[in-house]
Amino acid sequence: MAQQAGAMRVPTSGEILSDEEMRRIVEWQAIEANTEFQALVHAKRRFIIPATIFFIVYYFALPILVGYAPSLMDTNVIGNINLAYLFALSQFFMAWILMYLYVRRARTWDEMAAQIVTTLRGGKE
Amino acid sequence: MSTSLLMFIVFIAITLGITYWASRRTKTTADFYAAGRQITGFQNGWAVAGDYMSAASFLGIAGLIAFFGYDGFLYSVGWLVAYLTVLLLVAEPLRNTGKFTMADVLAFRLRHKSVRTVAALSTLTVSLFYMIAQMVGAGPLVNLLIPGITFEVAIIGVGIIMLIYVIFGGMLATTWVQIIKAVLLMCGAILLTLFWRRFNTTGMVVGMLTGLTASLVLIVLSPAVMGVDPPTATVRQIIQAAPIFPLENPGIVSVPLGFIAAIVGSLLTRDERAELTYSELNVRSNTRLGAEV
Repeated sequence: MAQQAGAMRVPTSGEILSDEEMRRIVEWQAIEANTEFQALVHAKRRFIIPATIFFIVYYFALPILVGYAPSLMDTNVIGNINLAYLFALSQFFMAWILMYLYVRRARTWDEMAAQIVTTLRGGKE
Repeated sequence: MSTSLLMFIVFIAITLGITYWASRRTKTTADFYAAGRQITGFQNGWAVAGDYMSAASFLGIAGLIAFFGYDGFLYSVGWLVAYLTVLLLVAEPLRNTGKFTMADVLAFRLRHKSVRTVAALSTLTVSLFYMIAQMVGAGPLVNLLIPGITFEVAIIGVGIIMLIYVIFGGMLATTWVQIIKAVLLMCGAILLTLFWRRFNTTGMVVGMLTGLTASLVLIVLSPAVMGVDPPTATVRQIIQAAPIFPLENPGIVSVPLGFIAAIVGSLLTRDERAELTYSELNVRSNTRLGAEV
């Protein structure tokens, strides 16, 4: 711990951090470097980053296709209902499915987070 | 007295009653902003749905589809998908840090004074424009229900009722409305402070002011304000000239511009305190550690 504090540069912004502040910072940095915490962050990123990219691409495909490929989107699929309406409708299902997947994964993340907090509390006090 | 007027009065009476009940139970900051953290996920879902199924959806979307067909339908899809941004990126970290508002999260590791000032400035500007649209919409509606009163009186009356809800009721619905609308300008800053260690006060101030200025300038230059009306027109545009900016809504330009300014501003300056305190925010937003002590 003390070695880590010594390794940190003195802020160049002119602000002097008090010993108490430094102690807090080092404490949080130690938790951040913890393997279990890193595992939690990685588990979250593995889902959240692809999911976010997916829904942004899927959503923007709708106005872009309607704008630039109107004849394709005008293809009738069921009776008078064309591809554009079905694609728009599918956005609702996409949102619900993504939400369901998120909630399911969030449960395991909550367990991981609770585990980390328990370990820390047990270790400190 | 017509049936619709009667229903209107009953609705106002019930909601004011709920506001009174809520105001008596609201004692702490957590009560005001988060309903004392007593609301379950399921209840919150209903509240958000209620917010969603409000005047904007029933009147706005229905009207948009009636007037513009498919283009109007796109709006409702956009609103739904926008919730995914909140769900995946903002909601959990925001709740875990134990902070109540966007400004609280930003002030966590950036310098308080400038953060609060800029956050207040953009919230008020966004709310102002949002409220103008709401009030202008509400005015004629009330005017229809109670034909005796003028448009001006209807708008002032609706404004007073809204103020009563917010100031005395506090809590849930208000917070959600604020979050969703503020996302327009502040979401960028929030994402950067939560996920980017290097993000600092300069970046935040520069980014939000750029986003804000760009939206305001572009609105003034857009067809919403500029246009050449024929001499017979009864409603005239404020500036009688061809619009310089082609779109009525500036978001597609102003939001990326704000993001870029925030990133450039952060890269050009260094704030080591902000970088050092990122660890704390990172741990807290992921684990809920230290949120409710």
